[in-house]
Amino acid sequence: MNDIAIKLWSAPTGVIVADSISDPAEISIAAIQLRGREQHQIASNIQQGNFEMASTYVWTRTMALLKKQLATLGMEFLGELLQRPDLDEYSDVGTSLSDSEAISLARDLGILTPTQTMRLFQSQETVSHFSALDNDPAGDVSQEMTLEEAISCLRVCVQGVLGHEQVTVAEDFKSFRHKLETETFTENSPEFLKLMSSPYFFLKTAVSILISIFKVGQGAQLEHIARNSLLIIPAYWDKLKAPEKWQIGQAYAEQFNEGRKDSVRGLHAVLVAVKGFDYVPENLRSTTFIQVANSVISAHQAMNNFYNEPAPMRELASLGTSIPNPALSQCMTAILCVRLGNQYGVSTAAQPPAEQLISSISKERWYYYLDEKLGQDRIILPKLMSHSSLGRWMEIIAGLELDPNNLRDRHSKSLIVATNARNDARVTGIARRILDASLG
Amino acid sequence: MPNPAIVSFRAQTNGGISDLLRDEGLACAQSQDLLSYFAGALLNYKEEGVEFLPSIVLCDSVDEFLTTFPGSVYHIIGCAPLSPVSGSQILKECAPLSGSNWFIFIERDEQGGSVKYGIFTYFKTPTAIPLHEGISINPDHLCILIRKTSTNTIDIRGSKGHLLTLLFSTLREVTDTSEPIARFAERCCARIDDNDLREEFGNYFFNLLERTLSSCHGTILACANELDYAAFPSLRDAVHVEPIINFLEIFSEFKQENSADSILSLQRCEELLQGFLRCDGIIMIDGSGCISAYRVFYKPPNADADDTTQVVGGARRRAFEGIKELIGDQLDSVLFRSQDGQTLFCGERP
Repeated sequence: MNDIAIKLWSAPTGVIVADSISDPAEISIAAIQLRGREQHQIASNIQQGNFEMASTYVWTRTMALLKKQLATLGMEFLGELLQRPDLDEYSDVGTSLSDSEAISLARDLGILTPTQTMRLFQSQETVSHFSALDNDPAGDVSQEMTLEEAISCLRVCVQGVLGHEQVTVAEDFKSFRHKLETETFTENSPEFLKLMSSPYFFLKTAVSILISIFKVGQGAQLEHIARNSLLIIPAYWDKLKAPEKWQIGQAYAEQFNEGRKDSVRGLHAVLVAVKGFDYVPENLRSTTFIQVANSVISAHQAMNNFYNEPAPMRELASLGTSIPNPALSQCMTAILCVRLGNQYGVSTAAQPPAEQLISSISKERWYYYLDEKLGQDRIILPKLMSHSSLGRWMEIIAGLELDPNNLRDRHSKSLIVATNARNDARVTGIARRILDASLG
Repeated sequence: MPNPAIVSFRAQTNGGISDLLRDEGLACAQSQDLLSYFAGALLNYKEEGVEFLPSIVLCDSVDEFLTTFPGSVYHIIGCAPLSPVSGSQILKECAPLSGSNWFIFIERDEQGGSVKYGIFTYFKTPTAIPLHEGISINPDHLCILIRKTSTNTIDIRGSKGHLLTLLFSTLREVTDTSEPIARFAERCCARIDDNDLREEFGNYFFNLLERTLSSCHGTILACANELDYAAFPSLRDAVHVEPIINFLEIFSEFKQENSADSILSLQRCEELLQGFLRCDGIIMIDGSGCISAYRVFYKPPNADADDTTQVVGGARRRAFEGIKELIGDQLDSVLFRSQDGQTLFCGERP
């Protein structure tokens, strides 16, 4: 169809620090985003055996710098990408974005490679684990971080974030976004054609960008975005999954209730073109569900998650069991986060409200989640590669007795077949394939 | 004996409506006559002594029309021939059900011989697009809205944006009511530092004033910042609201929380503003969207010092002319709304 490069965005490929290097001084010197004093202190702390202290510092600095770089894209836009309506331009990136969200987003935006992403998640779990340990004098000596864990954490932080210039972050992405609001594309525009052969994530992101600008744009900016939306969304409407369609309908309802007539007019034209008014929610109740579901996910992904999950999970359950359709996929992710837990187990106090909600979800809604959301759910899919969470997945999903024949998505169908057969290795393999496919 | 002379607005009204319908792409004499009937009937429509101000939408398909309005619901009340004689039946059955949240629809059938009518509503937060603006979001679908915007004024507009204002008055001064209200609303937000908030609150406050003034029987609103009533005898006669009604704070809370509680708080304040508008006298608002006093009566400086009689309704226009002199000194700006809908803004001392 076209000779244009398939991906809109790709991760930097230059090697900052080779995987074979294990000398903390040599690694930390490559952390060009850190001051010389910091580089020296990190190396000397590791050499003196202060592994937890050094790793926690490296991790905190890495996440702070990564989030700062992501924030240059605009907090509202990040909110759109993450489907978090609670984020706006006044949100503080440091406190409102969880570490996991920042890593996933960096991967999605091409800042990190898949391997760096995987290693950063591993380091996050390591640092979180040792940060949450109680002071137990009778504790086992093996409850201490090892040199290898500290070196591994430092190396991946430098490879992924600290070793790169700040300014290179997501430049292509920013340029694409800029063009969307300053130019009117045609059917022959490379940006429009690229989307056709890009993995689903990029299409989903393009929709998020369009909606994000609809919410804040004015004047000529809004006119460009309205015309580009009218070109892009109808062309790819059939490829869009239900959560993205709901996102467009939700944006229309929100803008209508914000009184932004010009944005509403543009979105209305898009919805007329795709006959998509079924995706406009009848009220904004779903916004509340999405906000609380996001706080459950944020608590789950942050430190001390076992203590922080119960309150938002109880709040989500208190909103009632009739979850509105636009919020369903996000609520399912939140509930599964709590029920599947992480490699260290689950938050016991958060289980009763999560179980209450999960028991109220009909099979049809499970099929909806598996068909429309799981393929893009980069919070839940990695859990299926972890032994302890996988065990709980088997217990929950196999107990639902879902019929794979009711699923349209072939990957989800295979996943449920493997789950019903209680084939752990196959479930993990399929989850990995789905995850890889989502990013092309 | 000579025949008595009669002046009727019928011909002019019909002509205006005919032009509007043609511009909107509807050539239908029966629709024109029906709208013409409503134009006269809505001017003073009462049931059991209670006045109703219904907004009526004439469209080809209520389902299609309502796709524009999220969360819309409608109920069909009845059917009738498409003719002006059906107008009274429609109003009789629907007007008492209508209000600020429920509106009347009339759906023409494909042949244009009969209509289905009923009431509809939509999910409307305090900042939502009002009906009269919402109809133009989908210009491809024929829709005509008729509503009463002030005591003597009927406003008819179409989805393509054409507007006809029927002013049943002998006044020479005919003004656009939106423009002075918008200018006044802008002054009531002038002291808000945050640009985005100022714009959002400004839009909301404009819509609120436009909506509440349409059902008001005349008033004067003044914008004043840090006004010391005690120091100015001409404005000393006032009822102070303590604590002040801080619309901006409540609006900001609604924007941040977007909760049912915050919507209710805002609606409570809106209701209070409607109450203030029912009272005689001037309502004082500051540049940060706070209402500080109502029933403020202007006493000209040259009035007898011992004269304690208040200047009350009927003298509104005189009061407006008088307080214009205070602009730039005690007051920032003034909005005047007469009983017959004339709306004037004054932001500079004459």
